[in-house]
Amino acid sequence: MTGSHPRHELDNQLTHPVRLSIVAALADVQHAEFALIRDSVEITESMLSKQVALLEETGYVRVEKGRVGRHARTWLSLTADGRAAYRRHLNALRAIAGRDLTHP
Amino acid sequence: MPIARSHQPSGISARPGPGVPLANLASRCQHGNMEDRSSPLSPEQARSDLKRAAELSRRVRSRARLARVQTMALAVGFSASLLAFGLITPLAWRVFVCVVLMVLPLAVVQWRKRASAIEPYPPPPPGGWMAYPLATPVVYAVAATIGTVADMHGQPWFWVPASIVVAMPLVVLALWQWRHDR
Repeated sequence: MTGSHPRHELDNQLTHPVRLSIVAALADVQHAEFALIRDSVEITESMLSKQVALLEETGYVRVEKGRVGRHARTWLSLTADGRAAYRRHLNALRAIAGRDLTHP
Repeated sequence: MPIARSHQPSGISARPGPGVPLANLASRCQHGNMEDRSSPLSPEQARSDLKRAAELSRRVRSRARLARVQTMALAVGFSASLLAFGLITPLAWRVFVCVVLMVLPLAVVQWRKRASAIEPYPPPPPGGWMAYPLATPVVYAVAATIGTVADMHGQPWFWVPASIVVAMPLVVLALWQWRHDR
């Protein structure tokens, strides 16, 4: 059987389940608050901070800090590169998910 | 609503199957129990990832349906303000209404800043985004001026239709936002 397996199209950053979850949570919003992503993905703040830092370094996530009243807020959003990478990763997952088990 | 939970697989190197709590995934990642990346992802695992991703997108997205609600709140606010301006005769009340009107957009901006998530911006409506919020105070000023110059204060037959007309630009914008809601 010739041709590459769709797993080669998976994004290296997004094969990490927590990073994939963070990007998925941000995929359908303009931006979201740090606490909302933490609660939605069900991880600790330190874990989220660490993974967001990695995604920010890769250029997939943008972090903005601001204030609402007296309270500091942190907002997360996907960059254009992040959205494109997420779309490619989902397409690869769909190709794998729909793949006939007789074709490894 | 938590994602469906199931019995945690015993193999520490295997990628977890569907329904495994995300917290457990985070713990496994933290302790280095990640899958061997050279091992192929099975269709079942890919489906699990897709299902989890869709659930997370939906969960966060459900917290972000604010733009059209805020636009309608502004429309109702301007409309009610003009009604109060036209139907309440003491001058002090009219001044009060004008002050509230100035505070209203600021209150909506603060309300939006407090939202946990903001929905994606739809494509701009015909005329661009600013045409509708800018048209509203212009229509308001024209209606208020006509009603004052023609001494219409206390006349509902003028102020009720005028308040509907004042609300129209923002109602149209809210309908555009609702129509393009993904």
